[in-house]
Amino acid sequence: MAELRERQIRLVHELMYQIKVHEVMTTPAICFPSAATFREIQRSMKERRFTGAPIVDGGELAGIVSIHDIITAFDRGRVDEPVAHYMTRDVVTVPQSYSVIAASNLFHKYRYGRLPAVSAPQSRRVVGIVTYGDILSHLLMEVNAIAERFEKQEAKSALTAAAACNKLRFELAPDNFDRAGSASTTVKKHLQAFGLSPAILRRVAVICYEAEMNVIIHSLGGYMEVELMPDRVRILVVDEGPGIPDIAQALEPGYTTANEKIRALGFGAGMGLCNIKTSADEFAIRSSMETGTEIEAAVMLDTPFVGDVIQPPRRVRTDPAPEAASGSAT
Amino acid sequence: MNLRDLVDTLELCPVCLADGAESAAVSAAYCGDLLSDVLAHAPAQSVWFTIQSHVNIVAVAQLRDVACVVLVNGVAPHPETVAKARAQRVNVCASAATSADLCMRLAGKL
Repeated sequence: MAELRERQIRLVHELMYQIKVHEVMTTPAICFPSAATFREIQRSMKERRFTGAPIVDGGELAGIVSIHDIITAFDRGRVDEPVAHYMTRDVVTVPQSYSVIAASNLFHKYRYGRLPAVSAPQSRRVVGIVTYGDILSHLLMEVNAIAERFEKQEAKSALTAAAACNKLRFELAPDNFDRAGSASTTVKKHLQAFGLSPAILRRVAVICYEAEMNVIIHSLGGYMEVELMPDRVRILVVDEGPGIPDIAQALEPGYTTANEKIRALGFGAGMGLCNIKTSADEFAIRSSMETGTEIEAAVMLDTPFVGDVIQPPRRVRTDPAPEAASGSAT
Repeated sequence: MNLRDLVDTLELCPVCLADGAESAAVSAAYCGDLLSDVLAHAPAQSVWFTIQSHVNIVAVAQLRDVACVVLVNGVAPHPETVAKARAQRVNVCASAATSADLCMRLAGKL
């Protein structure tokens, strides 16, 4: 829970850098000339429900009057005088192109209720007004929109996963040790969701990993297909060559064609094909110097799935939300 | 024993431990530097002692449900190994001792 809150705070912080003042400000800003009286401004404030206004003369910001100034004017009996002599002249503004984090920092520093937004840094031309409330409500909208997009994406990817759930295919690039083993770990995670026993998963993992490494280490590239069938997990690994000249020799434990560099990494023990054969219930290997090598292995399930459609078990939810349709395979 | 006990008993240096890793059960040990051999024989919930520090040890550890990978002989893990271990929630520790020393210290305790 604390982790989620931390993530939300970080997102909000990011958004505050991305969102610009001009996106959240109220525009046009309600402004008054310095000849206007406090009473006139006060009447406007009451009618149009705002609590502060920039004072603009000849298109340039000259000062600012807040409800606090109005109250003081009433108190001191100056309410019918022009604001020119009493308005705050040192106005803190924020350029409209700045991100709201700048406005937020100013709010924090000065504790003003509102900031006039100017057209550009150093400009005195007022283009809008921004309050802290404007920033917050905009952030809320953005976070909402992001959450909704995320939820839609989650539902969509769950559906895609469910639709293609029985068969996985991985392209295997030769010599790519960075990604080595990633196909096998993906297979394991995927099959875990179907409630297969750890023993079965481990055997499938060994077969996938060894076959994947063989393609990466010894071949010109290839692909791996893992299919969950009602009674078994079927693994097919095909490569583009160069092919195995003597399959019987390759199957011997300890026989390897791996080079020095590969063996220094702990590969090339010469156990790959034996391990696959030992872990599988059914194993077939075909190879030719023209087309490459093909390995097909099967691990039989302890309890076969019943029916035509293999369904992952329903995921248990801790909150009482209704089950999404994406949980079932098609 | 659990992983916390293992780290204390063997005075291991934790490199990366997943959330909640401390209570993970460790019920066996395996020594091996040939990945195929480890892949074929490492028991689940074992502590795997090895000098291999490259990124591929993470996949092997994950596939065999190894409780913790311990790099011995003062071997330091590569940064990619640590990053991948963190991402895959694989526990990695290190020690200056040899696998023989560490196993002898573990004798009778698992």
